[in-house]
Amino acid sequence: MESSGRFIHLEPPDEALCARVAERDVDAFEILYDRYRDRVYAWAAHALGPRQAEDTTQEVFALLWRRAGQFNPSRGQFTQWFWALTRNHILRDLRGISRQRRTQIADQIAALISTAIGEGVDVEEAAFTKVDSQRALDTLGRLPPDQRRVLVMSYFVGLSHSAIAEELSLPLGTVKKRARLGMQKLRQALIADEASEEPIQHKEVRPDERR
Amino acid sequence: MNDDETLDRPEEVPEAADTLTAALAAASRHRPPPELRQRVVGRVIRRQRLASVWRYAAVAVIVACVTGIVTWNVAAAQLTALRHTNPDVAQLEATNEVVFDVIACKGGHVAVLRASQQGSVSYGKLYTCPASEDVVFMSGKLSSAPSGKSYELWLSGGGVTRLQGALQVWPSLTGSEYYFGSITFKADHKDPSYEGAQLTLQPAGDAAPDNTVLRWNAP
Repeated sequence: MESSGRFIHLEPPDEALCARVAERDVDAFEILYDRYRDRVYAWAAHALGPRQAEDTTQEVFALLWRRAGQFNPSRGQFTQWFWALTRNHILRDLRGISRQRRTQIADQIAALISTAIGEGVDVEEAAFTKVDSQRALDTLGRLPPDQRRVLVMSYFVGLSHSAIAEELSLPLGTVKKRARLGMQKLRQALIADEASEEPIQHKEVRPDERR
Repeated sequence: MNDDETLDRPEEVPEAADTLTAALAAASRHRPPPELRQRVVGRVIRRQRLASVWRYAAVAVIVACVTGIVTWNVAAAQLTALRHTNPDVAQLEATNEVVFDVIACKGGHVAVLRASQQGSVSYGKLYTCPASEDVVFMSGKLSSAPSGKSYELWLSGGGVTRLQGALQVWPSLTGSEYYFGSITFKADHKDPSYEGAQLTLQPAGDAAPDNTVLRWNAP
């Protein structure tokens, strides 16, 4: 990959950064924090309230620091592991909150995402984040709202399909069907996105800048 | 990925989790305050420093333990060698064990010998044990024995007074000018009893007690 005395260097993947965090590399930890802070914070703020969001974000990243050595790339992607870690933590904090309140929270999140899907992203951030965010909204926008709502209720606040069925006064089979169809469409959309995705942006760095 | 098992559970589909969280962050107005970064990073740096301190502490403890074990083993080896080359050491250890057994004996008796001469601070204690023939006598705050004389323990029983033996005497370890003496011996039977006891300071070989320093008489 050498070119005119320079190396072409990809942005370090999450998995490599996590391995460095396991070796107690603070720089790698900071990169992962910058990549995922907004998502963790937004989730915590909507699920637990803005006051709790800072503490929860701190705790999630402290967990990442402590448990980075437990991540095994042969068992899946970093994001799968990290979001499981984050979700477990947030759902644990949500344990004392009633099902009705959790349904309200999920409905607010679903409404927010629906609005954003309609209006598009307006975030003054780095270009790659904007692309990621817009892509995520586009992908979710391809799902019918009732299927999206079930996914949001299930994922962000941890409601079971039975609980969702009760809250929405729907038969359990209908909820399961919506969840399954929603996931199928989401996967199809993601596969289609991946196929049409532009090549990954490369960043050129001199050899002495490499870690 | 098995569709039948996972397609209705977004948490088990990594791309779904990524998409959902990115969409929420894009839609939300909530953003982490800039100072949160410093707090989060500062926390892991503090944790890392603390871990280093603990690592050093653990190493120090291990080194101290190893040093202690080595020192102990060397001391034990030296003591073993000393036991082989100097029978008095082994004798002293055996005596210590006897002393402990008798004075800690359940239901044991102790007779306190008091000074015969006014102004003397010397005292002595005679220990017997119901379960043992061993007898221990110890005496403290003794004056230095003049040349040619020694401290002797005389015991009375059945109307007869006889010499039990001379005390071994050492300078006090407390730094005072006094001396400490002791003697251990075996009686004829377990749980021995006496009518009287005297500690004398006299030349060896006398047939009767003389110059009594401490005395005890059975009530």
